[in-house]
Amino acid sequence: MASAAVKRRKISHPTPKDADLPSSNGVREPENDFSDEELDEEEELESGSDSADSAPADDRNGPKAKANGRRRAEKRDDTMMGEMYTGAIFKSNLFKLQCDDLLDQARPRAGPREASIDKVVRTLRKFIETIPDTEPRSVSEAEKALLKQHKTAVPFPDPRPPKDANYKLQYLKPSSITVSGSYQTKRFNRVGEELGVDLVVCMPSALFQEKDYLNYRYFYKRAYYLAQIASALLSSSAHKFDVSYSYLNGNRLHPILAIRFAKGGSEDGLAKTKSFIQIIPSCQPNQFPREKIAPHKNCVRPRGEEGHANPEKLPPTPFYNASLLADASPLVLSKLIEGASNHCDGFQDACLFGRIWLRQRGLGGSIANGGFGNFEWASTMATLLRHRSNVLSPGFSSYQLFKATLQFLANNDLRSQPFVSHNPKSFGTWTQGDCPVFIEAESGVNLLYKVRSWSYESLRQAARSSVTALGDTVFDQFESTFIQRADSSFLRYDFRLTVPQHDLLVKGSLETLEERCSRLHKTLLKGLSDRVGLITFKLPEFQVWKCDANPRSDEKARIQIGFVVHPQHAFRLVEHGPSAEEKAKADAFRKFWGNKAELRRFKDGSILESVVWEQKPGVSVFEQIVLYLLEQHFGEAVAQASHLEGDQTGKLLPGGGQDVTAPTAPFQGLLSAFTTLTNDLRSMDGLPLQIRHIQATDPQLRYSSIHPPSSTTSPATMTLEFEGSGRWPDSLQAIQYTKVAFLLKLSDLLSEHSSSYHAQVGIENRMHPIENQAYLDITTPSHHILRLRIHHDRETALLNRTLTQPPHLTTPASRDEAAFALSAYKSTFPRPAAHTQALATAATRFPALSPAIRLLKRWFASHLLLPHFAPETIELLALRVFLHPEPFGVPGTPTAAFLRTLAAIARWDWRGEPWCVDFGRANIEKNGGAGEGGMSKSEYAEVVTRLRAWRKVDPGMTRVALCVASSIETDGAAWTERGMPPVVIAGRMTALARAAVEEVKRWEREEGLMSLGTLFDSGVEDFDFVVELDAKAIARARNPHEENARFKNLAGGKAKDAMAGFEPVKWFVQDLERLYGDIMVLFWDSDGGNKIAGLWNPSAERRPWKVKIGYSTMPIEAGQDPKEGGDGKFTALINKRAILGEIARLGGDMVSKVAESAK
Amino acid sequence: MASDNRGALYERAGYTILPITFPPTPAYPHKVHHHLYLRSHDPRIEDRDTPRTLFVSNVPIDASESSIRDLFKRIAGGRGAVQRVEFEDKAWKQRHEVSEAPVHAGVKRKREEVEEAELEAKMETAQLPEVWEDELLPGGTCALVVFADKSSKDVALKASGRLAKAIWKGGKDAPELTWNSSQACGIERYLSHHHLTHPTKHHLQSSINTYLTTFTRLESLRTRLAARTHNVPDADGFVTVTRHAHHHRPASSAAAQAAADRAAEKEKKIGPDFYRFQAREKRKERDRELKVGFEEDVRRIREMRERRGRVRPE
Repeated sequence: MASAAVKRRKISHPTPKDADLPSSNGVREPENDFSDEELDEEEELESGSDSADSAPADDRNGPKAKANGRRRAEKRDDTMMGEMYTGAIFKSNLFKLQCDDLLDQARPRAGPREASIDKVVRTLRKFIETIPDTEPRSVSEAEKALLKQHKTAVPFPDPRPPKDANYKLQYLKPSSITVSGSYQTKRFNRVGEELGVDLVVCMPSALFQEKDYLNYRYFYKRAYYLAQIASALLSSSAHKFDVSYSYLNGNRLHPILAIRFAKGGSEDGLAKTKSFIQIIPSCQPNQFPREKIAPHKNCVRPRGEEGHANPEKLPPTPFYNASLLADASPLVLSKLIEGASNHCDGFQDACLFGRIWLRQRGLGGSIANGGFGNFEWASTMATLLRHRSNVLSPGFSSYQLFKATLQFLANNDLRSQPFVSHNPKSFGTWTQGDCPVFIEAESGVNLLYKVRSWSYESLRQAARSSVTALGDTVFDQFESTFIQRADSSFLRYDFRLTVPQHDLLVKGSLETLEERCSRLHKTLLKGLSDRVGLITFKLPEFQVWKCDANPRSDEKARIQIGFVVHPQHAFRLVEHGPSAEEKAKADAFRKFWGNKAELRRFKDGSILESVVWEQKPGVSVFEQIVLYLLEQHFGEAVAQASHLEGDQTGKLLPGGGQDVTAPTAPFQGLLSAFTTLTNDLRSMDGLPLQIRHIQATDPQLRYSSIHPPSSTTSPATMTLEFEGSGRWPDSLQAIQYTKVAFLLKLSDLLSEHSSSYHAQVGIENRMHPIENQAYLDITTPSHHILRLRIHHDRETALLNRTLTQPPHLTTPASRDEAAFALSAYKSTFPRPAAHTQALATAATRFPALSPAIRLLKRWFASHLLLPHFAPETIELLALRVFLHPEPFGVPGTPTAAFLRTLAAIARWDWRGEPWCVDFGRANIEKNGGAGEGGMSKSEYAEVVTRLRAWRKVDPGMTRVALCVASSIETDGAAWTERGMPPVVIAGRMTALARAAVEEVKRWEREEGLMSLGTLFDSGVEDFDFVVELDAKAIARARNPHEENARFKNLAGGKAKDAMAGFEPVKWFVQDLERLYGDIMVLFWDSDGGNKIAGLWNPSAERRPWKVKIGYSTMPIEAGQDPKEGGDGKFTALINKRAILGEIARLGGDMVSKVAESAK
Repeated sequence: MASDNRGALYERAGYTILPITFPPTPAYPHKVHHHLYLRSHDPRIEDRDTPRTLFVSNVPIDASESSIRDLFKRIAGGRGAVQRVEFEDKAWKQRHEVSEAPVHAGVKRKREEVEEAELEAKMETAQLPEVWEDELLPGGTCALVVFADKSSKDVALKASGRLAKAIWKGGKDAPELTWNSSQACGIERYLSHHHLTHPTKHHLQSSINTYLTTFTRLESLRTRLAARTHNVPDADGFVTVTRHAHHHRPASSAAAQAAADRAAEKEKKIGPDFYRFQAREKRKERDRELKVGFEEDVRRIREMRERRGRVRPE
């Protein structure tokens, strides 16, 4: 059988371990670009109809290349369908389909915009070709002439050419004019980017002398050449161009002309199309000897030493050299990219992916944006494709190319191991300190020459994070990779430092801003060591400037420095230095830290140089260090002028715990009380049954209540489960009564055990006899109050039996009751217990988690939404950015976590998407990527399926609006069922989160400061009525010492304990909701707010009158509309004022004012 | 609303529409009208009390028997004496259903059955203590006001009609019927609730004891009854099949686990792909699943696009 033979042969191919991951060892033949197993499958299905492609053909250089290529394409089309089902080439089907959509959007197409651009470009080209040549002139003469005649300044780089220079400047007709860049190669992105067209004007060789590569001479001539073109364009009468100077990618050696079109000009096409043209002078590829301007050579001789005897000994000038080489190389690189895109089918699309990925992260080609932009992306990929087939192979799909390029960036440290595409010998073993090197050997240019050390770290971190995200097999990471913007500094960094550029520069020093920044970067890195994960600098960007002026830097410009911290270390108080015996190191340490360094003896007996920081209120250790370093190394003025923004949680959270050093400290008292109680209960004799479990179920016991526990907060709930026994009754109601009996017994035993315990049985759910009927409020010796309920798991079985009984044995009412009781049972006993345990673990793992949750709850409370959400829902909302941090890292401060959470909520399309949190991710982090205990693909699929099912049975979302699941509770409706929150509230949550995100964007745009408090401001103008509460009266009632003659039995020392759980406002709102739930939605801040706001339900405004309408009405005559009545009846109008009157009466002395809104 | 319209609204669809005035409170210093809808009670199945009963709809949330009594006293003077007030709630419905149910008279019940009924009734009363001093009524509730006799009711209804007409007419000397609530409200209401939810140990213990003893007695009685009727033909000669109350619960969770383990072991020994066709079918199944999965994904993308437009980077 033919197929059998084929099969055997195929199997003998080396099979890559993971088809999704491009293999990194061994060259892959283009024919094998589909995973071999897949081909195998195909052929078996086709039962041996295999023939043509059996001979492996090398179509890269072979004579049949074209034909093979076509066949390959066809083959791909068939196989793609097969592949699509398995998601082998792309991450998953869903991912692939979304990518297709995205590419469709982003791919360039030929339209009217492109046509008009083409026309303009043609005109420009013709125009430049007609510019007349000039005579060679001396520097000063040439400059003067231009300024006088044409009012055009020459954008000479710093330092300016010497007056006595003995070379001449001249303009000659360009040797070629080429349209280059992504526009030409159809790789630009149509979505959200301004379209730039590069017009590369190649200066003729005749202009230059052999030694022009030295001492900026080339750049002076280039600047003059550019000024000539500018003056010609400006003085042209036929065309009206808006010409200004700019720097190409912010490189001061590369001035260029940026052309937009003046209004009223004949070519107004560009103005409309949001596009611009850049005129970039360049030189012949071989203008200067390559070896003279190799990165490790010196080309800027110190003044007066032009004829230095031994230039080899001078420090290399890599940036200068690379800038020069880059000018000579655009056409070489364009050709390289062109070749790659012809040779590799996925190249164009992979470039688009790259563009979008870079854009979303705020990365770009200009030095300020990191120096790694679209051009660098494309040329890196092209170089790798050409010379490193073990990294990228032409057979890869666009996604594989994209991912492999990211992997290359993430996994290789190009600073310590420079990359040279080929002929590495000619470049020697040269590294460039802390800057990356990636040399494309044909042009000899270091493609990453603009990438500074801080930008490189940031680029690599972004790449690493995306590689991890794309390796995620469970969650679809499409959004975090391509859609979500990750460039907001408020979201991205834990701390932000702004230093005015003006202050940082030392007057009279030759040190440039960049050198200064580099020093600052090194100092900060050294001083902060493992406290910080990333420090990035954003330098002010150069804007365009008029052709008759010199470039001026903005005096007020500020340098923004972002810090990503390691929260475990960032707030450590002691910095250990070297031992006193190591003299040299100790001296360096002392020198670095100045007065702060001191010699200390530690507990383990070692004597070390060290720095000890104080715990100051309001200023974290991290902030102290940064400011101290600035002052110590850059002077007091810089430290004074700088502004450090970090965590603003302190002002917003009550009762401490905002300090990331000890976020759980305010909760420890309650936790130890809980542990003591647990031990006491377990050690008690005389219990009717053995205790199986005692579990915590309260937010206060998982570090996530807004207020840290105290004697005035509501009791912390816990559950107790006895060992199973046949003595429990088999009736639900009797079980509840038995539980009450047990509670009474427990209360007696506790009082016997220790007189400092005070226990009191309370009644709940009296109207629902099959639900839990009672709890035990226990006041511990430490005056914490715990609320204990007894968990009996037989209840589930009994309730389920009622639910599954055949219909003739039950009534709909009893089934409803059972369903309600079951969900109440689950949300009282098993669910919160598991959730509390998982969350408490996560909170100890992520120091910023607990304050972040509390902050988010505070936000919900400030906007009067808190009571509409189960606490667990909000906790899961806050957890996501810790467990699924993509595209960022794990947040280090609560503020960053909070802002990211708001952004995630604003983006959440809850109608169709579940919110899912995988607790297992916390362990993955710890185990360094080895996933265990995480959610499986099928578990996630179940979450999605459940959401779909809910939307099918309840399309109006009256029962379930949000779907919030976790790995321990895959039922997304567990916490949100029965209108927790109702759909209106969910919509309001999204609207408020969006408004917050807009506010953050505004800070970013206006380079403003963070004012977190404004996100918590809320007005009551949007509501129909507001009930204002009398806080004093409520406080009086809470404090029975002063005034409580009515209940004499509560007097004495126990009285205060007896008021535990007294929540009049909550009960008042519950009363109102029970009475008026159908006609109004109530908003209130259950965290100590003094207002209840309400909205009328518009559908209850007016209805045809009937007896049982369900709310207070007043009659009016039926309107003309026959729908509203007729047949002698009348219309019932909701009697809002009577209802408000009732509310005021019911609230009595608790309510100080009921106000209707004026609208 | 035009004044002539106002005058015309004191009676509609057989109901007298009586506006009452809520007294102003410090928090809401406005006099507001609340409307009661009254008419003679007219149920489908009449009972003894029907003729002397008035049906009132849309009673205020804090209405109680005493406040209604007080209201009619003021409407009809001494002649409109109210005997009792029944508010609409579950109990009302049930009571009516029960009273409508035919009473099995003449069938002599066995001693045990009587005892069973007695015990059930006792269990009902052994409930946990009430936690609210006064129950509130949901908005727009109805009430049945039972008067001393038919003439009292007629007087009250007529007086209400007159009063309603006068109030609707308005003007300077229009009468006003103020609503006086006797319910505790505000802090007092919630303090008493707090107090009531924490009853004394003794009180709670006694009601629990009553319930649980009664429950035990009832259970044993029912077991005895069931045992007696087991396999005994009834009057028509039929035997009612009853199931014994033993449930097949495994002795312990460990035992259940062991059983599951044994089953898994057995499965493992044979293996799922014992026959070739099994492997083939499995593969086919997998292919089908892939295809279905793919189609599902395509559909999801389509839905996503419908919901929020095309995919666009932000």
